[in-house]
Amino acid sequence: MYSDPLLWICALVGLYMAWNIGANDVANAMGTSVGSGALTLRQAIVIAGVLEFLGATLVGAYVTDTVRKGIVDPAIFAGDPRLFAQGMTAALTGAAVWLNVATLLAWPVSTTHAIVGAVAGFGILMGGAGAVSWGTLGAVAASWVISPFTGGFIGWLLYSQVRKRITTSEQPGLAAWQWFPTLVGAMLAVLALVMMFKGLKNLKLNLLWYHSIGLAVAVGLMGYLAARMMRRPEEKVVAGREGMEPIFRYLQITTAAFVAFAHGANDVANAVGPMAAVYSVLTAGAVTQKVSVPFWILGAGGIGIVIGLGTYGYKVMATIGTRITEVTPSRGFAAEFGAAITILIGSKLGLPLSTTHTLVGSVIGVGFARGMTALNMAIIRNIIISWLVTIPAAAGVCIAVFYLLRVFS
Amino acid sequence: MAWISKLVSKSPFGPLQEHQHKVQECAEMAVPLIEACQAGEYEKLQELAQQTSQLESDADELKVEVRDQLPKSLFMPVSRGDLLKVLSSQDSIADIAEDLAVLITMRPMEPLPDALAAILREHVDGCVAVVTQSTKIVDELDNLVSSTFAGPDALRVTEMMDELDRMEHEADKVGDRLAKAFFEHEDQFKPAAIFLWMKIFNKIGDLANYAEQMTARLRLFMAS
Repeated sequence: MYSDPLLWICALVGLYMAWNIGANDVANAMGTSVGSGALTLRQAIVIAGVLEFLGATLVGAYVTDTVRKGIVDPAIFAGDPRLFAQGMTAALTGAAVWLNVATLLAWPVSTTHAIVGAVAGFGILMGGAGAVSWGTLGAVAASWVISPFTGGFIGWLLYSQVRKRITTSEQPGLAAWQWFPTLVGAMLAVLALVMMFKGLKNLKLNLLWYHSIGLAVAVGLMGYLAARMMRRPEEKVVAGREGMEPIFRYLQITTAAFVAFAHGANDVANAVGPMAAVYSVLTAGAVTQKVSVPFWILGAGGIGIVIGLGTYGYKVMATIGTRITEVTPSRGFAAEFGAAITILIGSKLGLPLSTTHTLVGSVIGVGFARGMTALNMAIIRNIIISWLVTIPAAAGVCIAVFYLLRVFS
Repeated sequence: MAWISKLVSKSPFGPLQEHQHKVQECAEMAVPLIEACQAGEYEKLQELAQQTSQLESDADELKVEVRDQLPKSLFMPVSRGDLLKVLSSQDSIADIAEDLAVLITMRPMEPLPDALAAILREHVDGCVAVVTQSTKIVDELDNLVSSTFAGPDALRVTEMMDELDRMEHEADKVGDRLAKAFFEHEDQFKPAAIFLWMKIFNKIGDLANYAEQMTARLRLFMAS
């Protein structure tokens, strides 16, 4: 069965997809940190690479739905497993090509949406419009509105508070120093909760909600105390404005590192999920609801992401590092932390949020709190259009690739 | 993430500051212009006037640059209109400096009596000082942006603005004193000279007036 060209095509496309995720998505997590000067380019790449890989292999999806998000019922392919394998390969190609285009045009599109769109295209082709779960697709579409607005609102709220209590206080440096332990505690508690609700779901820890809350509070308290102890003595603090941003730098690096880890844990599934599905279908000869993902596939996905980061994400981040001087650590932190909180709330309320869309929203939110010098509304319009186009575009490429595959394999 | 570098546009405040620095150079030309006129060095005066006109046209180029960086689609922490008003006041200061250079080379001017020349010198220095103060305030824009136009930085800049208003008021008084002293000598001047000197005095005073106007418009950044 290893002589089956389809398996190799699929593996290649999977790597291509992982490369794209690394080039586009991961640069998302680290970009603001490089832009604000909190991290150098080299540091950002090393941190993102290590954490993405760890996230993917330690807590990545060892079991995944055969079809991402259940957008199509796999049962309709039960009679023809090979057709299904071809379809998934085409879907993966469609999503990867669209992501590549988006990266070139600097559009922050959601990888999940790309793959969902591609699979939907394949579903419509096979079983007609009735084969696609339109409710699921509707929920995905709802993310276009819900993610940026919630992210924007929380980013705005957060930066307004930072502005009120720190930036515009008598001595911003001193105020930042005083708030540092509280911010570290709050941040770690939120990140721990996000991790338990979203990042570690693949570990099936089955934590009860009060266990999670208790654990998060404990993590937060430990962070608070550790930050208090690590702070240098008050008399050595630069009380003025110059003293403020370096303190936010630590916070921003922590959130960025977390985003990279969570991203590795969640989004690697976008690349390896369909790959594992094809592998399992071709080896078992049957289409099942869920498939297990062998470690080597997860590892390959992780490596693909790191290569993408090093070969292209590197460029994306370098552009930002030299071009954005407007994003300071305090603003970058507010945007990233705002996005993390939004995702936490969203995953608990069952809202279909996209990390990418939320981050776009929270950057804009910080801008509306007088945090950015200038936001380009024309670019915002283009970004929103790119979100809307993602689903049909990925679907279209998928359908075209599928016909090609029918000819060649 | 390249999207962030597109989303977050280049700050329009940097070019605004650059423009004001060029405007400052224009305004500072008033001092050597008056000196050369008083010393009767006509060739040097022509040269200085030329130089002023060149600086003004450089300033105009920078002004266009600021405007180019303000497409309608930009969302900024200050209103687009307020920013353009500040720019227009800055532009006026450079225009006034150029007008002054034109007026002073219009016809050969007889030197002023020493007592008058001293007051004129005081007037020029005072008005240029107001422009310099306005430039210092524009240079604080960086701090204002990073403190989001509120808090202690904003207070400090407001105090600088109050100081500018006081300086402008003082310069006005010197201007009045100059005009009065001038008319005490009115019989020594030809009508054309009287006409021209009055215009020159007014132009010098306008340097301070427009610096004050610019500052008043900057205050709008901090309101709301």
